[in-house]
Amino acid sequence: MVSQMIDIIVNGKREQVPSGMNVRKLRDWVKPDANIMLINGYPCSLDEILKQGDQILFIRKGEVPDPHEFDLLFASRHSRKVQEQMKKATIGIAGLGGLGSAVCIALARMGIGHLIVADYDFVEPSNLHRQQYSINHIGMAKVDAVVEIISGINPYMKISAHRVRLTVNNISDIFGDADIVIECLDQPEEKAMLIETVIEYLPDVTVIGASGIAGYGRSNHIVTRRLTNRLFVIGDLASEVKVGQPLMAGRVGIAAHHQANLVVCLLMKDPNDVVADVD
Amino acid sequence: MVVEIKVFASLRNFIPPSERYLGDDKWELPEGFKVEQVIEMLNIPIRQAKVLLINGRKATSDCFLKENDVLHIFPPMCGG
Repeated sequence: MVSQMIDIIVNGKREQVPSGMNVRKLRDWVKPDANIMLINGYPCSLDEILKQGDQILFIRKGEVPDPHEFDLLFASRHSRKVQEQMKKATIGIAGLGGLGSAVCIALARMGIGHLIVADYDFVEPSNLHRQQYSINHIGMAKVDAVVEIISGINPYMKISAHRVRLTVNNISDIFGDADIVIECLDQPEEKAMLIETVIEYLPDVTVIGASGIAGYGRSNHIVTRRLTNRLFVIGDLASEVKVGQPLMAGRVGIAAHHQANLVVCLLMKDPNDVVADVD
Repeated sequence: MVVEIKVFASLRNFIPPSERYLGDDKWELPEGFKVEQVIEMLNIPIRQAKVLLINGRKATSDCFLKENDVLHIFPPMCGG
């Protein structure tokens, strides 16, 4: 009796296997040394029976995935539909302090295709309380430190790094290819200048700014607001940095991840899901 | 003329009651009104009106407003 066959995708390749086959048998056939198995993005047991249309990924622990496997990993975790949008996106990050360094890492973990980062500063000991740098980075240019960190997370992401102070004269050149620019600067004058310049000179680019993220407490006061069709602001719009109310890793991290999540929503053309119902 | 004025965050606290206010962020203003006159009318300290946009484009305080314009006034942004 001829057994019925089912169609599955194994490590990105379409295959036909007999109905009723389990993961163990497939693994022994495809990649016997694999010890991480994902079906449709989720870990599975060796005894799980394969079903029509399953997407299976076999990985060996300790082995660095190649670019193709890396792409499959993202797709298996995020879904192919989301991953395709992430991979073709170019995102600009203006400033690599507490916000920018955290946003870069989140976007690298979500498989963004191309990051453009800009900052003129160097890592100092006083940055370590809220920025994503370590002792080893002290003295390095922040752009170089971010490239090093990102390379350890997502080695196949394209990064364009600019060690430069952003001005009205260079913002269009640096971020001209971006779909979205994330404003992560710390000086009010520079924040306003970045937003105004992108709005004025890069008409196809959306800006995500941040304001009011200092201090501790009030996590839920940090929200995502849509101010115009191309301008979003994250924060409580009120908590300014002052003596007794410093920038701290918790709230800065919350705001940074609002920014990163909004990038995904914008790329998936669905920003309304995350925008607060307040002005 | 009717102009929509969107004022954010702490700046709202400065705005006095006014007969010119029509509701839903809409204001009745004299023809030829400038942005700086709006800021003064709303009692907002000029240094607090940090980012100005008219119809989503960068504006300055000496820009003239016209019927159905949408003016955004943002306070200084902080934190990074």
